[in-house]
Amino acid sequence: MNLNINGRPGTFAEGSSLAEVLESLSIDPHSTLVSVNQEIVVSEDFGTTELQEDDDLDFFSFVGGG
Amino acid sequence: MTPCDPYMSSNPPGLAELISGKGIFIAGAGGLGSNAASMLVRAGANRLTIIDHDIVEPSNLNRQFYFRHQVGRPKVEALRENLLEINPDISVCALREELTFQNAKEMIRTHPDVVLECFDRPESKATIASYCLKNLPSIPLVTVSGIAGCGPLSKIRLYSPRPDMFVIGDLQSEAGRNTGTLSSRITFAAAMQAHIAILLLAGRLDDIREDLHQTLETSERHLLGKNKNL
Repeated sequence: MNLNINGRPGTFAEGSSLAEVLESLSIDPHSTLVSVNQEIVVSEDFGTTELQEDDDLDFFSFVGGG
Repeated sequence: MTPCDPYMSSNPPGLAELISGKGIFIAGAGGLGSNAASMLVRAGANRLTIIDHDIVEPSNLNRQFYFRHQVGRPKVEALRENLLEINPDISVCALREELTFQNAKEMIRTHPDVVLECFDRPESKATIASYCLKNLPSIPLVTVSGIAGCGPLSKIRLYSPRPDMFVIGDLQSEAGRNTGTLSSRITFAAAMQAHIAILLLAGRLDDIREDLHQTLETSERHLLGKNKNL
């Protein structure tokens, strides 16, 4: 399955969930703002969000300090 | 506020009047929130809601807008007191609560015109960002990521990865035991946050566009592409 991650192409297993894609990219799900096709997905839904071919995923990982 | 208010008279003409009455929600009263709030009040902001569950600790005074006699007191109460010292005629709603995804709807019920994300922990930053962008899509959110340590100021930029989301920082400098957080760098980011909020409230989008244009020089150009408003 081909996905666009922050504007760059990537290939993942068919039927991957959002949680699985995050894990395979070593992205911390708790500190990352996630959208699929520009729609925000909240962290509790990462495991149940199934991705489709050509989905646009945008990840923005926050770092601490303030 | 009167047009000839002497305390506002050095601000750019007409600006304080544009900001006056606008609702500003500040999530976190630490280095970012306490300093951004003081700058916004000096610019004419008079309707603020500030949420934070912490108390003032000695280690906060290297960068946060508090004083030694306030150590041990709830931050939101101490900040409200300090802001009223700048302008006693403002309204500051001080919420001593931890903002979570679950209570965000109740806490952000004051219909703000802009939200400033001023938390310390990255998990809290992501939580409020996902809540606001999902549930309050037309209210601009000004967040911060990557301002710890004592690295160069020139790497702290303005990004806008999606409509109504602005990010200030170098996106990398993370707070840790060996990094620390420095007054000058934190306050610089807080000033950028306050400034973007002022420009948004005053409708000065051309100025924001120019700040974003500077970001084109960085390697994170993809974080500019999704904001079709600018």
